[in-house]
Formats: sequence, C-alpha cells, structure tokens
Amino acid sequence: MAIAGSPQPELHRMLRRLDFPQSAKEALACLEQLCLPLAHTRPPTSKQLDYIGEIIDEFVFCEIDHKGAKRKRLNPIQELQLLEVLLGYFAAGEDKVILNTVFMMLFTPPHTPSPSPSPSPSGFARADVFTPGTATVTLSDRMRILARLVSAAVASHNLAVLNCTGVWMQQLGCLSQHSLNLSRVFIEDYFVLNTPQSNITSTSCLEELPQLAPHFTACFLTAAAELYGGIDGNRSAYISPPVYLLNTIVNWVSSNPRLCLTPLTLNLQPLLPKGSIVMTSVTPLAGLLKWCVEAPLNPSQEKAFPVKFEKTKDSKPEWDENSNYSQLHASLLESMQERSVLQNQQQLLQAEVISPRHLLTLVRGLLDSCVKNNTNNEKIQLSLDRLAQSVQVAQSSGCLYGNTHELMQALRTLPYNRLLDIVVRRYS
Amino acid sequence: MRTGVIDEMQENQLSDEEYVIYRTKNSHKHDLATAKAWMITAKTLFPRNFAVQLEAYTTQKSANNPKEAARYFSSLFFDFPNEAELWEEVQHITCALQKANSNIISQFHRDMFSHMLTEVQHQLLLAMAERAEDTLEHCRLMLVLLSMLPQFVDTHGKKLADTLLTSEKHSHYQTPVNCFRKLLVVDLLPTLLSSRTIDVPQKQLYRLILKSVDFYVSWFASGSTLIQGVEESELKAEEAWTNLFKIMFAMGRKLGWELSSMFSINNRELMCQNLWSFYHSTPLGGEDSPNFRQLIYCTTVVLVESLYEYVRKINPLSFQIPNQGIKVDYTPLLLVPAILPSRDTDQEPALKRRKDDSSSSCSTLHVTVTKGCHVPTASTLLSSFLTAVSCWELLQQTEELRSEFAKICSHLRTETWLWLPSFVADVLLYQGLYSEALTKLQSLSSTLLNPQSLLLKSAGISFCLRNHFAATEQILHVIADLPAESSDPSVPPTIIPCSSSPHGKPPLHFMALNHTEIVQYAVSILVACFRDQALRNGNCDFAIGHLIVLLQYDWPNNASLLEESLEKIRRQGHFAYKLFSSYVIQVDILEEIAFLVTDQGGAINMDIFPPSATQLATQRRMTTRRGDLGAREDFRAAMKRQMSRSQENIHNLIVQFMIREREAILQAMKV
Repeated sequence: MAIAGSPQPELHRMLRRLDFPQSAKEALACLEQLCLPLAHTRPPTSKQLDYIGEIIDEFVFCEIDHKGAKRKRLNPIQELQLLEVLLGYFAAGEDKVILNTVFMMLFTPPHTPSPSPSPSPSGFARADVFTPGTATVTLSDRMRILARLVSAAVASHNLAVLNCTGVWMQQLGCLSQHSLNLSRVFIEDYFVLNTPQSNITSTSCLEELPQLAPHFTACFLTAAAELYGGIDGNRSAYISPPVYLLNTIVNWVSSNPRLCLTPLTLNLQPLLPKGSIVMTSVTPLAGLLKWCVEAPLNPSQEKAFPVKFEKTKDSKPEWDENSNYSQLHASLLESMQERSVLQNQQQLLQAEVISPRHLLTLVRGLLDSCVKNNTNNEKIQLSLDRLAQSVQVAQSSGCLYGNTHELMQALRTLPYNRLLDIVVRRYS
Repeated sequence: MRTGVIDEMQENQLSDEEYVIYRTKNSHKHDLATAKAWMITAKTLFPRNFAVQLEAYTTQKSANNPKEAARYFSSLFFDFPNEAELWEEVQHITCALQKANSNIISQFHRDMFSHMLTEVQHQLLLAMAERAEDTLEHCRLMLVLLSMLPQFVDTHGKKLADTLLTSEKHSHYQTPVNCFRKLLVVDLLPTLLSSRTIDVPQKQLYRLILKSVDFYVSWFASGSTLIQGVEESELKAEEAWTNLFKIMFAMGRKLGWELSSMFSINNRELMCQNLWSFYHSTPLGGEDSPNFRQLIYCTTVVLVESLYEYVRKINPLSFQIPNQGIKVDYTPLLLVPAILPSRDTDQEPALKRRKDDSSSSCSTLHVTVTKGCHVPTASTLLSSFLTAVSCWELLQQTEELRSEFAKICSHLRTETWLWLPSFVADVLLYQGLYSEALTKLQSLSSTLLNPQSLLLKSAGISFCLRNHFAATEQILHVIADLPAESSDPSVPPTIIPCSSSPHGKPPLHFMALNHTEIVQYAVSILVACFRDQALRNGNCDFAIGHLIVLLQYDWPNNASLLEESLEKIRRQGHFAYKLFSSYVIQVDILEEIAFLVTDQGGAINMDIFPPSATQLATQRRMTTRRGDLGAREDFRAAMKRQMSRSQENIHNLIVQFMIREREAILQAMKV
C-alpha cells in the first residue's frame, strides 16, 4: 500500500522499528505534523487522507500489518495501553483545532452513514438497553475503543477528550447511530453497571460534568433522551431511563439552567479544521420534555433505590418517581426561558431550539398512550398539563421555531385539558 | 389529587386567567417543582395580568427566594406602574433599606434589592422619592438612593443639595441643627464631594463650607444630640469632627486648595504650622482670591475644632454631648497666670520655646497643667489651647483677615457661643495683655464664668498688673466663699509648679478648681504679694508676719524668703506680730525665730506672744528684752507650746488664717 519512491516509507520504517505502544505514541506525534496543514490551511487531498489512514490503521489501532493485511484485534491489555497513550496525547495537546482534526481522523466511522436527526435504530435492538454488558457487542473495534476512551476520560477528568467528543458528536449528529452507540456505552458504564450502590463512581467527575464539559454533556443528553421513553406511535414498548441516569440528569439540568442550550452558544467553526461545515445542533430539550410528558402514563418497572422507598413508605413508588419528573419538567421550562436571556445578550448562534417536528412525534406517541390508559384520567391530565406547559413556555420563550400549524392541529386531537385548550386557542 | 367533581364544576366557572392562577396556587400543596412549572406557565401565558405576575412574585417571596423574587419584582415594577399593591411593596423595600431592622421580611427585602439590576434599583428608589408627598421624605429617599448607588450622584446630587437648602430656608427651624441641614451636611455632602466629575460652582462650595461648620459647631454648642425634625440622631461627637475634616479635604480638592490637604493629617501642631507657613509664604490677595479664601476657611475650621476640644477639656459641662451616659466626676480647669513666689528663678524651664514670638508657633511651652490631670488629657488640652490661640492670632494678622473673620463669626453667630468670650480672655492673658484681659473678664456676666473662677483669674491678673491689694482682696474673697472642706491629707500641699518664661510671655497654668488647688493658688498669690510688701524698706512687721505664716504652707519651699524675712527682722532689731501664737507652728521656723532671741542670734526683741495670766498679774510683758530672764523663760515656754502644735493640719490652719485675719491681711497690704 505504501507508495514507493516517496519519502513516506521513511516514516513507516521508523515507526516499524518501535514496539507497541511506543509506536502508537510516535504515530500520534507524526499524525499531528501531518494534520497541521490540514487544520489551518486547506482541506486534505484524498491521497493525504489515505496516507493518514494508513498510519492510523497500522500504528495507532494496529488493525493491519506492514503488508496491509488484517491483524488480530488488540488484546485487553494492549487496548488499555492504547487508551493510556490516547488520553496522554489529548491531555497534552494545546491547539484545539489540531486536536479536533486528529480526533476526527482517528475516529472517522467506517462507512459513515449520513447524520440523521431522526435515527433509525439499526445498530442495536432497543431491548439491549436492559441487558447490561451488551452495549459494545455490535460495535466496530474502532468505535468500541472510542466508547472506552470517553468513559476513561470521565474517570480521569480528561476534558480535552470530552471536548473533542462533543464536537465529534455534533458533527456526526447527536442523534446519529454513532452518537447513540457511544452514549449507550457511557450510560452502561456509569449509570447501569456502575450506580451509586457500587461505590466506584466517587473519583469520577460525573457530578460536575456540566460545568467541566458542558458541550459534551449537552450532546450526551440529546442522545440519552433519544434512547429512552416511547418513540413514535409505531415504535416498540416504552423504555424507562435507568433511575440513576434520571436522577443525575435532574441534578444537572436543575442546577445548570443553560446546560441544555449550550450547543446553541458554542461556535464550533474556530475549533474545526479549515473548510469544515458546522452541523446544526440538536438540544436535549425536546427529548427530555418527552420523558416528562410520557412518564405519568408509563410508570417505571425498575425496582431500584430501596433507600428511597424506605423514606417514603406511605406514598406509592410511582409518585416518588413522579417528583423526579416534576423537578426535571420545571427545570426544562426554566431552561427554555433562558433562551430569551441569551438572545438579549446576542449569544445565540442558531434560532431553532426545539423543532415543532419533535413535539409532533411526542403528541402522536401520547395519543396512543392515552388510548391505552383511558381509564386513568388523572394521569392523562397530568401528562397533558405538562405538555401544555411545555408548548406554552416553548412558544413564549421563542424556543419553538418554524411553522406550528401542524402541531396545533395535532394537539386538538388529544383528550380535553383546560390548559391545553387555553394554549391551543392562544397560538392557533 | 386536585379535582373532585365539585372542584371541577367550580373550575369551569373560572376565566382562563383565574383558572391558571387557581391551579398555580393549588399546586403549592403538592410539590415545589410542580408549583414552579405552573408559575412559569402562568407568567408567560398572561404577561399583562397583574394578579398572575404578583402571584409569581409572592410565591418566590414566601419561599424566601430573594434572587428569583428580584427578577419577578423587577418586571412587575416596569410593567405595572399603576398598581397600588406594587407601591405598597416598594414602600416596604425602601423602609427596609433605611432601617437596619433584623426581621426576616426586612432582610428579605434588602436581599431582594441587592439582587436587582442597578437600573431597576435606581428607577425604583427614584420613583418612590418622586411619589413622596413630603419634601423631607423625598430628600431622605433620594439620600437612600445615593447611598446605595453613589454613581448617580452626578445626576441627582446638585439638585438635591438645592432642594435641601431651599427647604431649610422655607422651614420653621430657627437653628442650623435641623433635619434639612443634617441631611445636607452629614448625609449628602460627603457623597457629593467624593464625585470627581460633578461640577459645583465655587460660590456654592463656599456656602456649603459655612453651612457645614455652622451645623457641626451649633450641634456641639447646643449641648444635646437632638437634631430638630430628626427622630433619633446617629451622629456621634467623635465622628463629627472627622466628618467635617473630610468635607474640608474634599472641598479643597474640588477648589484646588493646597492647604486643605492638611485635613488628612490628624495633628493640630502640624496643621498650625501649615497654616502659618502658608500665610508667610503665599501672597494672599484680595478677599475673593483663592489663597485668601482657603486660609480663612481652613484656619476657621481648625480654630473651631481646637476651641471645641479646649473648652471641652477645661469644662466638659460646656458641651454635654460627649458626656452623655458617662457621668465622670470631673473637676473643671481654669487658666491662670502662674505665680512665681520667689525672685530667684532657681529652676530653669526644662524645655525652652523653640521659636521666637513672631512665629507664634504652637510649641510654646510656658503653659503648665495641674498634676491632677492625666498626661494624655493634659497634652490634648495644651495642644488644643495653643492651636486655638495660634489660629486666633493668625486670623487677627491683617485688617482683611480680621474683617473677613468677623463676617464669618457673625454668620456662625458666635455671639451665642457662651464660652467664646472666656476663651478670648484667655488669649489676651496668653499674650500678656493684662488690662485687656481684665476688662474682658469684667465684661463677662456671671452666668458665663462662675464668680469663683472670675475672682481667681482676676486675682492672678491683678497681681501681674502689680495691683497687689486688689489681688489680695479677690483671693480672700474666694477663700471666704470656699465651701468648708478639709483637704485630703494624702495630698501634701505644694506650691503650683511653674517655669519662667524667658521671652516675656507670662507663664500660665491650668489649675483644677478643687479645694486644694484653689488654696494652693491663693497662698501662692499672697506669698508673692507679701514678698514685695515685707521685704521693702520701712517697718512692716505685719507683712513679715503674714509672710512667715504663709510660708509654712509649702515649707521648706521658698525657705529663702524666710531667710530674707529673718534678715530684715535682725536689721530692725525687733519684731512684733500678735498673730504669731495663733498661726506659726512649723518647727523649723519656730527654731529660727527662737534663735533670733538668743545672744548669738542677735538677741532680737520679740513681741509675738500675748501675755499669760501671771504676766498680766505682774504687769510684765513677755518680751525678750535682754536681761529679763523671767521673760526669756516665759518665751521659751511659749515656743514649746507652739512646737507642740506642729502636727496640726497646716492646710486648715492657713485657710483659717485667710478667713479670720482678712482685715489684718488687707491692712498689711495697704501700708
């Protein structure tokens, strides 16, 4: 595969003399040199891309040998060594554009599917979420290493990796299969296998993640929101988010009212290699509002948090869970109100905060649930109150962008709710 | 949960607004987050509905969440300027800002105010001030505004100063110690002057200086902390002068006065030096020139301050303010000429004056203070007195200064300062202008200076004027009126210490107006008077006798005067003094007298004891004439009797002497 006669084989020869993981470390340094012109001056030619790809394949991930033949996958110890090299490389880097460029070169997904805001769950069966330890099974080696790298970065407070990951997710689409897959591993590592009861999380920076890496956190929230709840009327069963994930998100959002709006205020252009096009960001607002609206009609099956049950012996567990959603809902409304503040400060890069399309799918799903729950008017009313409040605050704060006519039509098809009626009359 | 059938029916009767408010209020019963969601919804749904918005604010208020409440209140304030309930709340906020009330609601209002944006704070206080019906209330609120937001002083400061000046003029207050002046001088001026950008006309600044001095001095002179129209005054005497100095400092900065920088040093002596060196080195120009103005205003302020401190130290009752609550047993002090009882100035002044008279420096050290005074008090007393004198003298230097100062005095209405004339007398005394000082004293009514002080001071001055008879007469008057009180035996009678003044200015002394020191001073004066009277030529046995009696008071000080007296007796060869047996009991003196009778002593003929019963029977006078052995025996026996009295209280004996022998004493002085 190497091009004879060019000076490039020199580099290969030099790297081949080194043993792994030293070779990977050196390869990253060489990559940086190769990416330097790409980052700041011009987009790469396909020849350059091929060459960079060869170095990455052979020396960083060791997927091929010097003849270009496929090699055996790295063993777990080598994989750990590679993670260490990668974490070290990003932590030491200074030029954000270079770091993002190298990161994207390293983790360009194989056969990149076009970023889709409305995901088609082709990568995994949704039921897998309930089967701990399966999140990485269907992933390519490269994506598996990326997922492990992100988990390791949270554990070791490696903000450089998290920042690059945030940019990576937005550029590929937070709702793209790759971002969803990545988030799924992260959830499994930190919220399913490793909950407060397991006592391992104490050293990670999970609690302060919104302050440390707001963009990554927001992108993660967008993806995580998509992974749970019931999606569309035509999708399979409703899936409750893990309790610990829900708790953490409630804490994050309520104490950081602008967290959900972060992607709208961060200008990625100066962080990306020259000539890149910044992708539209999708906030977690729509997805998380959906959780709150759907929750009353879909009580959690999970019997977690025995401590919590003890505390509220008298109340029914589902209403205890409901207070979590109440809190999240109120915090989301507050987050939406922050939009006008940001707009007044001219910090908004993008007008669209919530697409009416997102709410439309929510309404359709809700309609189904209402039909199934038609005996429980109280819960339906609670859902509808929350939906009406969401629509009202989204409208008044300018978060709902675009044509809302279809949405209003859909809202009329729902069972009667006084507040919803007021809101629909107001905006029709 | 929330809806029963009946509730539902009632709900249907509600308007949209009412329904949303109803649900919002109702949701408080469940959980805070639900309530919050409803509130946000209500607020955004009916932004023009006061009830909805007020409910949102009230919710935050009852949750004691000042930060959120501030946000809600701010929008209420701008969106609903005509709602009475809003203004009630504004009223509560402004009240809380004015009073350091510690209740929870007040604290909440203060916290909430602090969370508001500056522009909201400004508009809120301004609107409240403009709504005030009463001028005083308006000004008070404007001052709250300026104290919270001093950056707005350029916008409102000058107008507020004008309002206060006009309001005072139109008010019924007769004295400068009133609420309008207090707000102007104490509350507004420091802020107004601290602005570097505000532009106040020079004339206005001059006016404000006078207004400030006038206020503080009248306040001090009023003898009470009360300020008319102010409920409770937080003004403290200690801070008042600091405040005035700060005002002067800031005024000076505004007016470009180099002199006023001295108000930042807190040392009277240095301030005085600054004033004099400015006077000597700078051409003053006419009355309106800045140099003339700064000299006269700065000097006046320093004068008034040191004068206040001086008067307060010599008689705290002149101003009752600093004493309130602390009833100290304090003896007033009196400045009198220090009397030199003997001609020979055996003790040189420890510290000589550093400069000659022309500089009128404050470092004049021929003034002493009674030992009964603590050292710090004494040094404050001296420094304030000398500073006041020095400033006074400075203001008398030229005709222009004199006449301008007179104008200021009339503006400050110094004629109402009861303690001022007595200070002027002290200045004259200090300057050695005795006749003028005496005239000034005599012009004072007895209400200004009590008769005792007047007599003591006059006696000292009369003595300096060599009017010994008058001095003696006044002293005897004082002693006669002295309330009976035995002196404290633990305090040995001492003559008033004094150092001589080599430069012509009379030595002065601050004596304490207590029994002991009054007697001490009286004896000093009488000794000094009789010294001259007894030792001149001619027969004056009475004067010699009185002198010997008085010398016992402070024995053996002034022993040289006894020597001189004995020498005179020896020269005369005889000595008659019928008061001897009553008043001479000092052993040393008795021995000296007894010696004179002996042959070695000159065998002087002494007629000092009244005849005993036997003597009267034998028609023999107890004289010590040579050869009369029986008489000598009698004399010796009488001497022994005198000696046996030597333990008697000399202080009381001398007081008795001065009271009972008034006529004899005056007689001896007349001769």
